[in-house]
Amino acid sequence: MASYCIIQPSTIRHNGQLLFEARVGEEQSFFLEAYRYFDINYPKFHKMDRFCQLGFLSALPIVPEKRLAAPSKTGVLLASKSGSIHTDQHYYEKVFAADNIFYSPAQFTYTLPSAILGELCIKHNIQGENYFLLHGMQNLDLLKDYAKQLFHSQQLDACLIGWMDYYTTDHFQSCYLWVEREDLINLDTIIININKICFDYGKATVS
Amino acid sequence: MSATYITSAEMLSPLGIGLDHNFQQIKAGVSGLKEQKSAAARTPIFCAAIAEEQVAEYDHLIQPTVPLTKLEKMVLVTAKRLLAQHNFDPRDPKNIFIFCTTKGNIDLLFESDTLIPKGRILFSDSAQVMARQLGFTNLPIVVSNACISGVEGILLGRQLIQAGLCQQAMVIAADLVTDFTISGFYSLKAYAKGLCRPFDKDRTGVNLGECCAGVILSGKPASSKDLKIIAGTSSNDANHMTAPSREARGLSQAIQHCLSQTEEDQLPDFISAHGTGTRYNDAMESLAFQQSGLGEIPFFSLKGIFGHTLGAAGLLETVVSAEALKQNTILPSIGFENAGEDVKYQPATQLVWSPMKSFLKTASGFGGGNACLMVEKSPS
Repeated sequence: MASYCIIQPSTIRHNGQLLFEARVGEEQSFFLEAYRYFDINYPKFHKMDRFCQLGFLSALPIVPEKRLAAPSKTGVLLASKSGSIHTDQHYYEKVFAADNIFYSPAQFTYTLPSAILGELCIKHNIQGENYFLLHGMQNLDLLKDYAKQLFHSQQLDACLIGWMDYYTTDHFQSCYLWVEREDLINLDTIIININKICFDYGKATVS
Repeated sequence: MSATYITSAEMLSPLGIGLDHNFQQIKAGVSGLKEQKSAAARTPIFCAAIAEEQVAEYDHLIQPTVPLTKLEKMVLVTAKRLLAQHNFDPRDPKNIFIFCTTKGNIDLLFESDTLIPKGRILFSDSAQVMARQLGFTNLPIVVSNACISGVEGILLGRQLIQAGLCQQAMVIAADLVTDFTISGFYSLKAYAKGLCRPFDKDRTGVNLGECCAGVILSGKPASSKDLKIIAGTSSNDANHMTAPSREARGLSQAIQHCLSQTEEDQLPDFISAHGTGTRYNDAMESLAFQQSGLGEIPFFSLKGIFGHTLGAAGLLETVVSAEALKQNTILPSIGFENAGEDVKYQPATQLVWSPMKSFLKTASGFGGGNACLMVEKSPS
């Protein structure tokens, strides 16, 4: 069954229902509070950069723990405008502005915008097609079209698709959707609805 | 799925501008790797960086109307060469521009005094400026999936053409050698001491390189000699962020899926491997070839010539290998001398002429991603 999750500063919504809301004054620790809300034990979460934490939390409510689709027939297609810019700047300051070339090899991994693909594939055992795209079309239409094609040509049975941006502690957004083969017939309608909910959101910027 | 044709191919690298020129240099045994110093490494390291003299030529070749970064100029020089070869109109709304990169204009972080707006560090903004300079009316798409970006850009273009979402795609990949990326590989202890030695028993890591390579893809051939992409897929190890699966699970899966998409599970005449020169990657790849029944197929890595060009590597190596296929040559794997226990097969070490029909290109990267594609000659 198709299922979607939208994260904006201070809220997580699942299929339109409010799942989690940071209390007033706790917006700064939103990611940590949200992780606690899900009540899971995944220490790697704390090593991830904010961008990956955003993606990780977005997938948690919607990727079924047990699924029929084989790992090799499950794909993940993500898109973004910000990419890893927040972590790039952080890494640059820690390594070059502070002249510390051995600052953190692990942090370098998170300067790859696609690092989230690896994190999601490890967590949810996704082994099929995996793409990270960056573009200025702030909606899920391209991902929808591409997912449909991969269901058709590469025999995917399930696919996680999502948009995500992270700039600062109060400027980020994600919109993730879990799609199974049986959802394809309604996918256009589902996407139209999600685009309306998510991308009319005031901070969307299309250059 | 029907075939997608490569109707033109181009590149620039430290060896020079143009695919023909680069291919001649490769056949002559020239390597772009040179020793240099970096603020991100304690000792001098080998890189394949493009000389200032070549960069100085770019403005004359492209005559930009806005300030451009080095990377953007490399892409536009390559694009202009692609356009000169082939009847492709960027203004046609049925044509799209796909740009592949791992770190894009990351050098902008190091430049405080520049005419380039800071926003151009965003891949989509940079791609849009390049697309406008070329006259594209559609918004461009950037593929950034670490070291498999270039192969995935071709696969994305192919799928969008097959889906009827576009008619032709210009796919260009580029990455720079910067202290930013050097620091990553160096601190991960994945940077080679000396020259990189893909598949050799004494390999110690990568040398980074910079280049730009591009293709135009079309659902229809422009000439009877055009090569075609007959299969391709990506996969993920779902295993580790920086180390490939010891069992070569993801790459084996991608290769086997790719071969199964060909008629009668056709075997390639050679493999253009990823072959970075790191211990884990090369052993993993060798194991994947064995598990996929490709143990007897000649293979090579081009990293000993161009270094590891990150997101550009897969596209660069597809373009060079396509030329090798056209010329019926298997290229030598520069830097290899002795086989070790963890590498099951020896790469090609000499230029060999042999009539050939197809090749397999593979790539693997950080985050556990793998991608491969198969290229074949059109029947004559």
